[in-house]
This record gives sequence, structure tokens and C-alpha cells, in this order.
Amino acid sequence: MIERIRRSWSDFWWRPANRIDLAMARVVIASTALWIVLSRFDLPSVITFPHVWWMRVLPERKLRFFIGAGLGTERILWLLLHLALVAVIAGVFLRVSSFIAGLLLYHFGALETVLWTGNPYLRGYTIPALALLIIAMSASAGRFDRKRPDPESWENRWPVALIQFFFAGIYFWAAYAKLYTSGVRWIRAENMRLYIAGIDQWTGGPHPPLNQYLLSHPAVLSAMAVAGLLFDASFALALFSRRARRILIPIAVFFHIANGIVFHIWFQNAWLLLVYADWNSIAASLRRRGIASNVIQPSRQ
Amino acid sequence: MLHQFFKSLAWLEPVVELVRLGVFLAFLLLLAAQRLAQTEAARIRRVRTLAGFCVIVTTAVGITQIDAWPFTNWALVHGLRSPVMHSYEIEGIDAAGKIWPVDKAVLQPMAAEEIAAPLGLVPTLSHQEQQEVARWLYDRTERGRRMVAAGERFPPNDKFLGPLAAPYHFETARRWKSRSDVPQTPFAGVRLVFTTWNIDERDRRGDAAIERRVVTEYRPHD
Repeated sequence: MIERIRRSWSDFWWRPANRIDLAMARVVIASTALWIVLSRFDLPSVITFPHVWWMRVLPERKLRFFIGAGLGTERILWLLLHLALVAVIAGVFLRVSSFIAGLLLYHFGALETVLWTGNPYLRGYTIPALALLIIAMSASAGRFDRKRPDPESWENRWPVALIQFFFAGIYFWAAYAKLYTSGVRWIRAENMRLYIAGIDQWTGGPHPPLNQYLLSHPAVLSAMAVAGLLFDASFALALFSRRARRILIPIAVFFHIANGIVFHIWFQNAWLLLVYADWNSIAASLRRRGIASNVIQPSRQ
Repeated sequence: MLHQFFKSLAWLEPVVELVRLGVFLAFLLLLAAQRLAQTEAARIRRVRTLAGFCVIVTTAVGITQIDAWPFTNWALVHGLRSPVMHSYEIEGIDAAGKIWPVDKAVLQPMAAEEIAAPLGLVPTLSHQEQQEVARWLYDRTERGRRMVAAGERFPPNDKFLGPLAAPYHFETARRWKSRSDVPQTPFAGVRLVFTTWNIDERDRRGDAAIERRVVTEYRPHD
């Protein structure tokens, strides 16, 4: 058993792979980041928010996120982030553009919440910032040339594995946090009911029909909480098992849509579930159908 | 709990911030170190160190629930929900004294959720500081009103992508959807109102269950 776990662990990080998974991860991650950045108009203007709030931000926190430049400089950097992300998607100056984009996502991600916390997770910047820095420092920098031979190497695998590892943490640690903070009482129907009704009221709308149904069916609420917790806790299996991925990834898509409808919680990084896709198989399938010719040889999975 | 214990040590926060910076810089250094390795054997060793570092930091952050963003704890709706909710409203006052609910999207590029904590400080501020915040709220409100009144794309985050713009983590209901939702002339003032309600009471009695407290008000011509 221990030997099997060790083999799975080693295979997860080091199995030889070609470049397509990392190249696709690069495009998906940078596109998602660009979508978020284009949807936060003039984010640098946060530095002009009331002085009385900024006075209360620790200097060490400002230093940590490299905050201190003037509005003009911040706006230039913001524009540079857009350009860097476009360059990453287009495959131009990949190593440099990925590194700049990763660092600037770290800097600007903090601006969304820095007035009250230095932990801006779930705002869409966390995984893209980490992933683009990893891609920048990988052997291929996410470059993929379908006209050239693409030999399999462990160097193409670990960056994807590390990104997948970070992403799986979103679910696993969300489950842990619930049990750590609230224990098993978290799954009580009453807790779910108060969350759903409270968030409906806080976000300003009436209860949608689905929520009205849920609020009057405590057993369904508890079952939903248990199912959500089990899904979160088991998502890590997607790292090691193709079969688990085939089950858990569609569930994750459903989970995020349901979270949006029921809890009004939107997870901008849901697109990054595509980093678990087997792009070699997809490429082979496209090749068979004649949609994409000349696509690389499949690698061992 | 460890998390609560560290939270109680406010004096430690500056040091913790520097440690967090150190963790991020260590991540960058380890990434660079594997890239600069001269031989494959050295590179393998350094990538192992990098992977080990990421696993250890992620696990430590997860277990303790003390973040070192971008290594984070991913806690979400994880507590036991109190039946009492606290929030805030921004209200515009037109020249005739009519009150208009303000769409919190005027706060963009920051989400309504992120502004709640800084606004929560307002009662603890001096009168002059409160006026600074209220004047800022007025400016944001007026900017938003002008956009909606002129038929421009609102909220600001929709400028490039329209309805396809990425939502915030929590999306609040849109209040300003058409020109009729705002006055055509500038607001005479704006006020910040803290609200409190019991969830079940509000389900029964609607908005009548909301307790309101005007925290500060700003009128540019006073």
C-alpha cells in the first residue's frame, strides 16, 4: 500500500510528459487572468481611496505587496499587466511576459482587499499569480511548437503538477476550514438555512425559487452540506487518478454553478479546471477527426 | 485555536507580514534556483526542494489557517452562521430631500464586500476623518449617477466586457439599471447607514425588520 502511494506520488510529479499540457495551462490561466483584469476597471485607483483607511494599512503589508508608487506609475503597471497577459496568451516573450504577469498579479491582487486584509484569496488572482511564475521558470516556459518534435520529459510535468496541486488545495482546505472552525455542526440544516437566507438578504434580492425550496427542506440542506464537504475533501484524488478526474471535474463544474445560484458565490477561476484535462487525448481525438493535423504525439499518462 | 491565538497577538502582525513576504521571496528564489542549475541532476534536486517547499508551506497554511498569500487557507462560508446580519447602505439625497438607494457598484473597482470593513471603522473616526470618507462616498456616488443618467455603461467594471465582465466573489443586486433609477440632477448629499437585522425576522416582515443607524452624512454645499 505504502509502495503504491509512493509510486502514485512520484508518478504525479515526475512522469515524462510532452509540452502540450503546460502550453494549454498557460493559455487557460493567462486568459482567465486577463478576463478578471479587464473586469476591474482602473484597479490602481484604489490607492486614491480615503487616506484615513490607508493610514491603517501596516507599512509592512504595503512593503509585502510592493505598494507605494503613485497613481501614474500604478496605471502604467496595470497597463503592463494587460500587455503581459496578452503576450503570454500569444506566446510572445514567454518567459519574461509570464514572470511580469505573475508578479503584477501578486501586486494588484492585493489591492482588491488590502484595506482590510492581506489575504485576497477567491478574488481570482491566487492561482494565476502562482502558476504564471511557475510557467515563467519552467524549462519550456509553456512554449509549444507543433512543427517540432516534442520529446517527453519530467521537465514538462512538474510545473503542471505544481499548478494542479495548488488548485486542488482550494477544495481540500475549504473542507478542512469548515471542520476546523465549526466542527461537524457546520453541516447542520440550520446553519445552511441561515447562510442561504442571510446571503440572499445581504446580496439584496428575494429568495430565488430554488432557495425557497431548499429553505423549507432541512433534510435536503443537510444532504447538500454533506455532499459539498465530501466533494471538497475528495477532490485531491483528482491529482492521482484519471478515473477520479473523470468523476470529480464534472462535479466541480456543477458545484460552482450551484454555488453561484444558491449562495451567490462566483468562482472566477473555475475555468482553471481545464488544467486537469488530458490535452494529449483531446489533441489525438481532434487529429483523428481531421480538425487539427500535425498535433504532437500522445505522451504516456 | 492556533489561528485565534495568533490573531490576539496584534503586535506580532508586522513581523508576520514580513515573514509572509519572506515566504513569497523564498518561492521565487527556489523557482529561479532550479532554472539556473547547470546539470540535470542539480535541477532535479532543486525542483524536489521547490516542490517540497510548496507542499510544506501549503500544508502549514492549511492546517493553521494562517495565510501567507498567495499560499492561502481557502476558508469559505466555514463558520456557524449567526442569525443576525450586519451590513451597510449608501443613500443619496436629492435637492428635494428625496432619498435614493445607491447601487454599491459605485464603489468599483472595489467590491461592496471589501469596503464593508473599512466603512465599519467610520464610527471610530474623528469628525474630520468621517467627512473625508463621506466626501469620497459622495464623489463615487455622483460619478455613478452621472454615468447612469447619461446612459453610459454602468457599473464601471463593465466598461470593456459589458455583461461578460468577471463577477466579484459575492455579487450584490443591481439597483441602478436605468436612467429612472437615479435623479437627473446632482445629489445634494449622501449618507452612510449601518443596518442590522435578524434573518428570520426579515423573512417574516421584509425590510421593516431592518434596524438602521445613520453613521455619517455629507452635503457638499453645507
